[in-house]
Amino acid sequence: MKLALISVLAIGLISCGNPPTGTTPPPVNPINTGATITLQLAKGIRLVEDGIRTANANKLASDDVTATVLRLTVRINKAGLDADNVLRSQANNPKASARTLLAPLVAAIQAAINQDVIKITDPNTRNTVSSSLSALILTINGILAGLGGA
Amino acid sequence: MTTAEGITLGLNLAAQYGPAIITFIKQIKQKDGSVVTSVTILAKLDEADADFNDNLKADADWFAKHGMTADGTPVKPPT
Repeated sequence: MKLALISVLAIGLISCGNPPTGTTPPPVNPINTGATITLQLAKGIRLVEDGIRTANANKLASDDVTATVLRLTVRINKAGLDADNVLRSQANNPKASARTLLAPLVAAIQAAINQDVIKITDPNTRNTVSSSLSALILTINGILAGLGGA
Repeated sequence: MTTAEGITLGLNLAAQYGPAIITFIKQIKQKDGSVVTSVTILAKLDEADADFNDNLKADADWFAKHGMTADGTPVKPPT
């Protein structure tokens, strides 16, 4: 329950990747898509952090588990800031590729899965965080794939 | 000047300056469009940055409150 909020990450990103039906989709700007992804990611991570801190305050998550999850999200927050800096520098570059620019962010999330999630001792929490981050990567890649060569 | 002469003059002017005028209008549209797009993108990036920084601040506050650090290093005792 306490970590089900993590699913908001994937839901938010999925919703931003679906074009409205019945209308001609507007031209896609890869940098704009990248900015949308990092914005949704920032808000999704906030929900995750609020959820685990609330669980910790209510004695539903230990300090050690909470610290492990927060260290994982700190890594993603910093990667998000880095991704924003790269996107900002390429905002007026018509040839910029969102896939290339967001590759380090995706790699950071993947690294968090490989290196940090394993440190979560509680199996349920570990599985929830791992599957949510994996879904996050799949969703980001799905949005980027929708851009074609972008 | 007759109506026919006026039309001819107008056509000649359009032929002479039309492409330049059309190009000028396109440039304005392109420039305006690109500026609007950039502002939108930068606003999103600014908001995302603010959210990421807020998250990191809240994380740092939690770690400090619990006598820990975000990178796992030992907390230095106050001097």
